[in-house]
Amino acid sequence: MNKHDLSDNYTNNSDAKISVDVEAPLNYDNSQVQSMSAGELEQLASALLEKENELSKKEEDLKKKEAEYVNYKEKAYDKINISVKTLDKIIVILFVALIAAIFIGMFKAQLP
Amino acid sequence: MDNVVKKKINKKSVARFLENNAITILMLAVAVGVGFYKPSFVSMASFKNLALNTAVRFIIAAGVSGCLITKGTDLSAGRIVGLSACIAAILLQKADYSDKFYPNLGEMNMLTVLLIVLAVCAVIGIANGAVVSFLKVPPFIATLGMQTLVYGLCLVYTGAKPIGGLQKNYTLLSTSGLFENKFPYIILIALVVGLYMWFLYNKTRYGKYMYAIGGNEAAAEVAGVNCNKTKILIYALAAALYGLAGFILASKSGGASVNTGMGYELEAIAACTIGGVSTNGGVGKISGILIGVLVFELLKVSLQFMGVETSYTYIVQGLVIIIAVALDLRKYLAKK
Repeated sequence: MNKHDLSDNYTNNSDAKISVDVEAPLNYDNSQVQSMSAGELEQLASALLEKENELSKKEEDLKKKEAEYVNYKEKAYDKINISVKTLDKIIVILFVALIAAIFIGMFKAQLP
Repeated sequence: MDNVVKKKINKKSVARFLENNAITILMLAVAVGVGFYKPSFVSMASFKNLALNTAVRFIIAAGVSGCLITKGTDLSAGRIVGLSACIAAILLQKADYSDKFYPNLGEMNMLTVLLIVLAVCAVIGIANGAVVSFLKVPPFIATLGMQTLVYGLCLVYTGAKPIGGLQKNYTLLSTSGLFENKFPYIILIALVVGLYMWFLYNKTRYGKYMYAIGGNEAAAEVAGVNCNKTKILIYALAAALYGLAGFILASKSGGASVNTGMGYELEAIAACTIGGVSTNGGVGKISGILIGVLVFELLKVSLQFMGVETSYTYIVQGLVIIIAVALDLRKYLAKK
């Protein structure tokens, strides 16, 4: 399917509401291209360029995601559902408990 | 503006440094505090004793680290240390010792006994590795089974009898050293082991494979790493190192029993975790392990000097291990 509507969800560009044939430059004969005004041609070219950029961005994203998916393997820590903030609080509590244990141990040893 | 950026970077880097070395800093602070509280803590004898204890435990920790980096563990470490200590002590008893285990056995060469001990331990390690890699048994269970098995073997072999009467040249291994005994041979051996392990982890294919398996075993397999073979080698090397540690430990204590090395595996795992070896796999450095062992030993000695009741020292040690794992998890989550 060669027909693409540039005003679809991907572009969201109000200036590019033109139905464009992707192979247009190849299929249009000279008379058709010549019948287009300079403004129309410019609009068509910029819309195509924008679409091309967007598609290449999407392709890059997909490639990245694919690489992540291929190399992804759940690690033991991924199974732990905890936020860094909560973990920080736990670590502080543990540090306090550690120091408390040392002092209690010292105190107990001094008891007769 | 530049100053603001520099300040931010400095704050960030300081925060990262604190996050990465929180336990080490805390333990050093405790040690400094103990130094002020009990001046006898800062003495040559105290440091020598600390270094000797660290040396033996570092060899064990270096072995365990390989298993941890590949997302495994080795709970049989302590019992293998015990078995190797018993074998070494039995084979290196004085010829004229009245309670000799093998009365008709003459005095054996120390190097031969060391090789026997290393071979026996390596076989146990190969068995551990084979069970983990071929039978796909979780390392925790496989090595727990091996721990009990080795303990049983040791009990059967020694008849639960303590072994003493060691040859003089064997005990001299731990009491003598270079530079008029100022630099004990045990520390020299630990240094050599450390250098060897560093070379192995950083400069050889074995090390790269080990980190690759720890990072992502499936990807390593796809990349052409023979995961099973590598794991078996890792467990075999680890067990050989426990053998060496047991050999040294028997010499250091002047004897051995079935309880020699009991619980050393947990200390080694704790030291590795403190030293930055991630229990999540794929991360760990030999220098970090050395620091971890040193810090853990320093903590134990500090607690003794502070007069903390023995039961409480276990609570403190346990908390340190939990904090080390929590900090490791925090690092992982923050990066994610």
